[in-house]
Amino acid sequence: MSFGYAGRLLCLSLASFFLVFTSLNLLISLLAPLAIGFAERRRPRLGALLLLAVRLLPLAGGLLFVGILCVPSYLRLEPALDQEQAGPVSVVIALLGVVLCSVSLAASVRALRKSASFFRPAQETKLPGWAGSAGVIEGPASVLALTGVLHSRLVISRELLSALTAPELDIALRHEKAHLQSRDNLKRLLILLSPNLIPFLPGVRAMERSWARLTEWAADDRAVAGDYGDSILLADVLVRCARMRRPPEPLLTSSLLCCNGDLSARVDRLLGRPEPSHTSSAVPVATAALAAAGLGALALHPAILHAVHHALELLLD
Amino acid sequence: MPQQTPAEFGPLEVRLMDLAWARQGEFSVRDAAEHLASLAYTTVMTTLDRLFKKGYLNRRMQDRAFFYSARYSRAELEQRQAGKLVSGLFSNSHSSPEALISCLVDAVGQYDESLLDELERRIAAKREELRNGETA
Repeated sequence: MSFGYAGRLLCLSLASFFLVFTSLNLLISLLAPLAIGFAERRRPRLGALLLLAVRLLPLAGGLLFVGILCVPSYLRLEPALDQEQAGPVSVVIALLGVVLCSVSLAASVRALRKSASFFRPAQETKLPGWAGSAGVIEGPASVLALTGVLHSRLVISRELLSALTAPELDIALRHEKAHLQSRDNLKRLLILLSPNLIPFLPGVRAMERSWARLTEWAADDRAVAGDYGDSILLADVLVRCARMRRPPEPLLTSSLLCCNGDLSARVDRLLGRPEPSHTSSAVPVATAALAAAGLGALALHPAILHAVHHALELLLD
Repeated sequence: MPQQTPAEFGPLEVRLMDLAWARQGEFSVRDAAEHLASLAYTTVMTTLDRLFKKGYLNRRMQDRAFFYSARYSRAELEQRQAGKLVSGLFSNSHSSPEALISCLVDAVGQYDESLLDELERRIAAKREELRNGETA
């Protein structure tokens, strides 16, 4: 097949994105046990951040490769020929890249709509200690959740609202506020934008579960802020919420073992005098920014651009 | 809050459910067809039968004619829909990013009762320990 200048760039970008994404997906699947073990030995907030960085590596790596290497090398070194042949292999890989992007975008849009629709049956309400939008729903008894990504809204079941005392509601809302401040729903969206192409390897799924667990622990730590009395109060609220839950309807597939283990671990942590959480993430973000800047500077070195362009020419042929 | 018919109904089903709720009693297929004059009798009959099979209407036969009535009030049905929606969204909410929600506790599923009892005992013991530490 022959393409124009822009068409070849698009084909190359999609194909190289797919190849880098898939390679990094395989890598993180294999390294997941190491990453999880390392992260779970850190403070929950840092551990969750580390696991998220690893989980998003395929997406970030693919985008960085295209943005910093593929496109600059092509624009600088590719002669502006009207039409040039592209090999069938490169076209097929580029189409796989299109499918990958489409699937991840579709999953993200579906999740956003689902998240937004969840708030629809809720009755708007004002909650003490919660400045943003909140709603009360009828439904499973122990619902207290933050929905939405850019405009997050809190949802609470009527039964739970009636059952909790003012201090209990306050500590529960502080837990949800921690999720809001950490932008955990946005992080979930980013994970959706980086789908797992190798579902038969358990590593990525295990990493997501570990990330979710550490995220909850980090929110617990932030909510109690080192106060032991608040830790005990939050532990009590968690257990009471768990007691209020109704059994699942037949079509749901919640795991009994998963729930028991997670709740028990959270309560044990809270009862074990957790250390105050560090609210600043400046160091990891600054490190990542410096690393990206360094990579960018390195990537624009002429020798590297030539090498990348040569490799991409081989891909296109 | 403005009342809305649950989202899973088609347009004709919405009109028939509105009729059922407005009547607050029984009505026959003929009554419904007269109310929805623009539609064929068989269309109304088929749709009422579908709503009965879906579980939204009660039905009884009298003198070779079916009489229908709403099984749930509008408010009850909205609550059931909300409950189903919430349950569906919250299944595996912690481990799955698809829901884009952050929950305090997994909202559906079962916890072992003896585990909850044990956790409550530990919490009570720690409370007592804290109280003794403060008064000492």
